[in-house]
Amino acid sequence: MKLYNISLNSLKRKKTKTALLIFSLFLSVLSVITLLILSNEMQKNISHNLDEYGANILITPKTDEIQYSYGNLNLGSVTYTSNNLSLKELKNISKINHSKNISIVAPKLYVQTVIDGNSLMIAGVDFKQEIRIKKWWKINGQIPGVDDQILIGISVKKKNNLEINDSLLINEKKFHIAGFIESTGSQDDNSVFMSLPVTQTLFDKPDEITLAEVAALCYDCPIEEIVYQTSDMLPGAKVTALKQTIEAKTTAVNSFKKFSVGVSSVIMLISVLMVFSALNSSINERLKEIGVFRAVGMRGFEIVKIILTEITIASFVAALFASIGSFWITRLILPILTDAKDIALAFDYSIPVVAILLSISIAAISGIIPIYRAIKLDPAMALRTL
Amino acid sequence: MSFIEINNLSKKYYNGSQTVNAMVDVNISITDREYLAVTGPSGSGKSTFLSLLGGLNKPTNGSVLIDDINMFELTTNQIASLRREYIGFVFQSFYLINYLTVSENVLLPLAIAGKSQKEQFEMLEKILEKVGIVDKKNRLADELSGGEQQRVAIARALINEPLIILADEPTGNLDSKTGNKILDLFETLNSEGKTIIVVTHDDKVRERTRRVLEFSDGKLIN
Repeated sequence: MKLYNISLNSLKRKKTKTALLIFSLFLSVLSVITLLILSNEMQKNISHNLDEYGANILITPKTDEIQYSYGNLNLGSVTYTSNNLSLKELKNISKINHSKNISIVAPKLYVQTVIDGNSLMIAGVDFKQEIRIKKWWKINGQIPGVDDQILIGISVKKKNNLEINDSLLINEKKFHIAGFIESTGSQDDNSVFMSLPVTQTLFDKPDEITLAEVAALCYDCPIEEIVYQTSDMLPGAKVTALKQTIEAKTTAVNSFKKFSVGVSSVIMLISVLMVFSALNSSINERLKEIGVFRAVGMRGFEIVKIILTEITIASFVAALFASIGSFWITRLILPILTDAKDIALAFDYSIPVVAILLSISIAAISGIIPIYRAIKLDPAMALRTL
Repeated sequence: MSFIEINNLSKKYYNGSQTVNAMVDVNISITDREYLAVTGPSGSGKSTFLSLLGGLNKPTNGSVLIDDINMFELTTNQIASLRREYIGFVFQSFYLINYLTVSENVLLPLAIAGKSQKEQFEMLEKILEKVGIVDKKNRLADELSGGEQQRVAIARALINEPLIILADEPTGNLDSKTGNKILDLFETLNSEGKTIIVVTHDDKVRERTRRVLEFSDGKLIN
């Protein structure tokens, strides 16, 4: 017989006590692990949604600057576009190392034109991408589906007294208004949106674009890295990270992270107290046993070994059940919390490892005082408790 | 030459502002292979004497030397080791571990002795045979009668072959027939070389020992 036989028999034959200890550890680990997985997935989800809510990278043609001076007198500078950006070149963005992080690329060609004496901004866009990146657009009518349909900003509608299905002559080509965008407070209110290829043909700017807005998913990759790789791939372009957007996202995600850590800590504390209570009552009921162990000559650390072996085995079993439980609970709850129907949550094999470590830690922290009491117990007193 | 030397042994308990003198200045020499009874009325200090002798309790004053080792100069863990080597306890309430079988209860002292499975098995068979409970070895402790449980407790006290047996009212919870069998067993063990110290207030037990120590109010009076 070895010391671990005592622990194993204690667990095996004191079924109710063992079940209670495993159940309290199971509940503790289940709550903490589920909350950690949920908050991690929700952080990803929030981050993903925020990343797609408008661009966080702007790609524009490279500009150069010429300084004018006369003797020592500085006369200022003139900025000019050294290259035009092409759609073909923009497609190279899919070749960067972090291409899987590129969620939306919305190219645009802006052309200034005059209609009925009014100056108008024409924006050639890829509607599918544009709608994805500008989630705040509220469209009355339809998104243009064919080449001769356009979308107009609210100011254009009001200034020209236009309605859905009205037609508008642009560069001698007739377009039908499929819908208008409600006020956005941006330059979009003064713009007319049409398909990018149609704009390029209409204004004789084949393959040309003015800029591209990019939504990159930056949860697991720093935006600077994506900007760097994109700049490398598009030598004629100036690639800029939109700091304000990124900071806003980072702040939102960090706030959520802090909240999750706070809630997890509270749950962890409650768990420790719950397990402490189970262990403490178990030690109280084992005073006689500890006295006997002492009487037969066991030393303090040998009694600790017996109790720790029991706790470790119980923690291990509880952690395994909690890993499986947390996975299934997360699968059920996550779609409700994130409103996403297509979440494919794969079982992460690091979860049981984390669960086991967590379970053992909770048990060890909870067990410090009861175990200390056990080894400090006066054996004569322990035997007298009966 | 004395095997156990007790000098000026005193034990005080403090209960709030009250001080209870459980043992007052006791001096005794016990030689090797003695069989002695410790008697006295309830609360006279018999059990305190036994727990001090076994190192389960620490005295307020005085010393206990076993085989020239001053027990209370040792650390708690060293006392535990000394106890494992020299002393076997037998209690009135048996104090068996309910979730362990007879064999497991008896083998408890060997769980930390570093003996091989084979050695443990051989020692177990021998001791169970001696106390007459070989056929019960796979039963759980609480499935046995009182007499059988006391035999298990004695087997547990003997398994690591200690030189001293300390027994606290070993027949107190047994009927007279079973009690007599236990006392027969003690006599056999004493004749085999064990020093046996029995706390009792039963005259039948006292009569079978060779020396009697009588306590009253924590003092050795006879």
